[in-house]
Amino acid sequence: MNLRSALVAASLAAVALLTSCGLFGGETFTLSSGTYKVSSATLASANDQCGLLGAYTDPAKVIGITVSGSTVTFNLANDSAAAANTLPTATINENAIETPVEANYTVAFGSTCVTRIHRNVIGDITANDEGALTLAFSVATESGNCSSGTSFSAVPCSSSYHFLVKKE
Amino acid sequence: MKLFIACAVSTALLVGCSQQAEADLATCKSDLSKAQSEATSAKSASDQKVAALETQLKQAQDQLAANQKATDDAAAATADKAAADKATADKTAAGKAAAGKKAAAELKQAVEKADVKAQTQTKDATTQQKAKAAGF
Repeated sequence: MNLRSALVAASLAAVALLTSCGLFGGETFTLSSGTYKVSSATLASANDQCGLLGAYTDPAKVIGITVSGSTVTFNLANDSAAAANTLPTATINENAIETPVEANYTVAFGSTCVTRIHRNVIGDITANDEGALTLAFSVATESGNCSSGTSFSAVPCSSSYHFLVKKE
Repeated sequence: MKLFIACAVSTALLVGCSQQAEADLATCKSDLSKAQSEATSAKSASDQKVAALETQLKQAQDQLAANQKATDDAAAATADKAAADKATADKTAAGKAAAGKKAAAELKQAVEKADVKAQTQTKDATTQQKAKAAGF
């Protein structure tokens, strides 16, 4: 009896330990809406054609994240006035941020150049209100002469960045 | 007797003179005929030379006329080509102007409809500022 009790207790302890370590299916984390601090930004593409990686390696960089049900919306400039069609979204599936819906929008630089931007975000939720994200985007000329005066090193261009986020 | 001798001498002299005059006349006629023949030959040669010169003159006049016509034709062709080139250039310029106007109108419309309106980025702008302007 004592031996059986000891075995049961040991088994329960082992299950509890494994569960806590995430080895029995793992814990599902959550993201909540708010402002997230960006860190550890690195290049995920072969090179940074667009030249904005520096904005994500800036220690002051933050992004906005809004969660509604299983849909997560990324406000990369953390601009409350940003138009909805400029914000990429994705679906939260347990700890995965997947099935991205790209933002497809235009940006006019002065009166001589209009660029079209496609961008999406995917990643993983690594802890509650923490994640590892990958931003991929491309820029092309929509109208006019965009050889200079834009936000990008060159147009057309494409870049992809990987970075961590943690809610402030 | 003396008179007879004198008459005979005179007669002989007259006969001699007459014969000499006839000989001289024949020589004169011959010379005249020769001169006439030479004059005729000279005239014929002159006529031929004049005819040859007239032929050359006509050929030169014809050549001059041909050259003048060629010059006029070339000038006309040059003028026609210049006119055609100008028409083409005018058409091209008009086409370019129309295309430029259309492109400008399309750009203006694209700027007005842009989802994000940003200032032209200067070289002095920071990466953060540039990123913010483009929604990054």
